Amino acid sequence: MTPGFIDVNVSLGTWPFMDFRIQTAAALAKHLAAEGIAQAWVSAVEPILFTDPDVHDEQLFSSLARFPSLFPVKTINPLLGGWRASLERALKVHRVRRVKIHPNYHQFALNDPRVDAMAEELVRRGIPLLIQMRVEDERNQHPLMQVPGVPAETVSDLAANHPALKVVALCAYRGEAATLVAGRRNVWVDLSFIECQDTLETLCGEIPADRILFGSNTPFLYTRPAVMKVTHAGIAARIRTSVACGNARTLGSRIAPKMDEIL
Amino acid sequence: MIIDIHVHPPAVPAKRSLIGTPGETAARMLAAADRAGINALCILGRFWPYPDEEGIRQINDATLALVRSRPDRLYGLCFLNPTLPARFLLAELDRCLDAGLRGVKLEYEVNARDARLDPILKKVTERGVFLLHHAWYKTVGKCAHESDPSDIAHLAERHPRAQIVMAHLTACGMRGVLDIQGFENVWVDTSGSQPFSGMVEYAVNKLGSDRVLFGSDAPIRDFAAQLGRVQGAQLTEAQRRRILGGNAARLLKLDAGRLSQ
Ligand SMILES: [Zn+2]
Repeated sequence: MTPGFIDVNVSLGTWPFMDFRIQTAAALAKHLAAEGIAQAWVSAVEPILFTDPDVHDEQLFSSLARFPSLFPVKTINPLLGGWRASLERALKVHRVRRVKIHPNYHQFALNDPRVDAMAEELVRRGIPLLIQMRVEDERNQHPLMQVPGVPAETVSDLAANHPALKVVALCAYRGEAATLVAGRRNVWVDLSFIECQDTLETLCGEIPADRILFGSNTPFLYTRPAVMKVTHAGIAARIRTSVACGNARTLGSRIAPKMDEIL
Repeated sequence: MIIDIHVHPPAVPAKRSLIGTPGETAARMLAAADRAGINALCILGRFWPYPDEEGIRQINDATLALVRSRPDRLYGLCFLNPTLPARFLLAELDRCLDAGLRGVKLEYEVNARDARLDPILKKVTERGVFLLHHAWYKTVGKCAHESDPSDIAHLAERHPRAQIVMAHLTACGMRGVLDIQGFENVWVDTSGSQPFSGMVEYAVNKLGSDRVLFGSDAPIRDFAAQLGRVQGAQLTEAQRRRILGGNAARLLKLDAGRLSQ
């Protein structure tokens, strides 16, 4: 068993097309611990569709506060007025050190100048940017809610334009991983949506192992499949450990620990 | 004992052949299965779409060769293209079943509502074997003639005594489970799309654990990750055993000695 996973892709909340069994931070913490996950980066589900991310983020942050293994992620929509104040409050009051965006659901292109402004702000504060490439398998979406995935090239371009920004692409497909990572030293991908025979061995042949992060996309997906992609991989233990937690730790090395004084 | 009901043979479609000799290919497949702790595989055939009569024979011969190279761990299904003449299809099915294959696989050459499936299903019923049929609810990217679960339900209604496994639970979704719920002659395998949480429990709740089978869709997918859907679902150990092997053993007609392992 590979101990102490860091799961960079976890959510809490409700999604209209699914029936999540995990409804509370306590249930989430218990479930993840049982799966061997020592630390999880958790964002709220509702801001994907709800206009003001703050409304559900505030609830999320207070519910996570009692659980030291659950690290809050702030959802930002850089098209909304007031995102700077919203970020400031999340940093100061809730000690959030990670930000997520949903370019497809929030309908902005990554070359929008407002995204550049946000990227610069995150670089200034040493905060990584999590980009949710998709929430669902596009083939199975509700016919009236078809939302294409975020184009991988645009993520790569954003990373090129902001070389000091740490970019984590969540729920990318295997076919997108090389496009995301090639020629960029500041892009990582998570394992949740990447699958083929011997997933991790194969992926390590396509992109550098130090860019692969463990992400389960719990509770949208079962947690165990992602865990087993790592624990059952026929690959050096050193690489399994890097993917399970080492790479995420390196990525977060410049991030202040959750309980530290910041700013 | 863990049985994977949904495994594609590693093949080179352009060459219309397996990746290596049957023995090498079997060893490669079983080595990957071993890493996940999977004991037996059911191989589905079909290396390329719309094969003609010669192609069908080639595919089924390859499946037979694979199965014969490891009869203790590999089982196979006869692949058919229902656009071909019924006389050929029925003779090929008899040939394959007589040679030891355990059922039929249909993909999307023909939709499950098409009457050209009827003689095949009649034979499946007569011989007491099973059909594993591709299915998916697709909003985009649907292939011509591809079946969705309502098409599988239509087929099950036409052939109430035929044993039918509908592929791809997590791609058929709740709607797919509800489509087949009333047809006791339809099972579902756990493969498809992403491992959406709660789907295995939902299928067990609606269909009973007797009608859910572990299937991986390897080598398109990862044996271990696919197994994780079942291992990570909230089930009783008895339910999990049925899904991981018991139900498949019955459909494949494995003997009691194999079952107890
Ligand atoms: Zn398949």
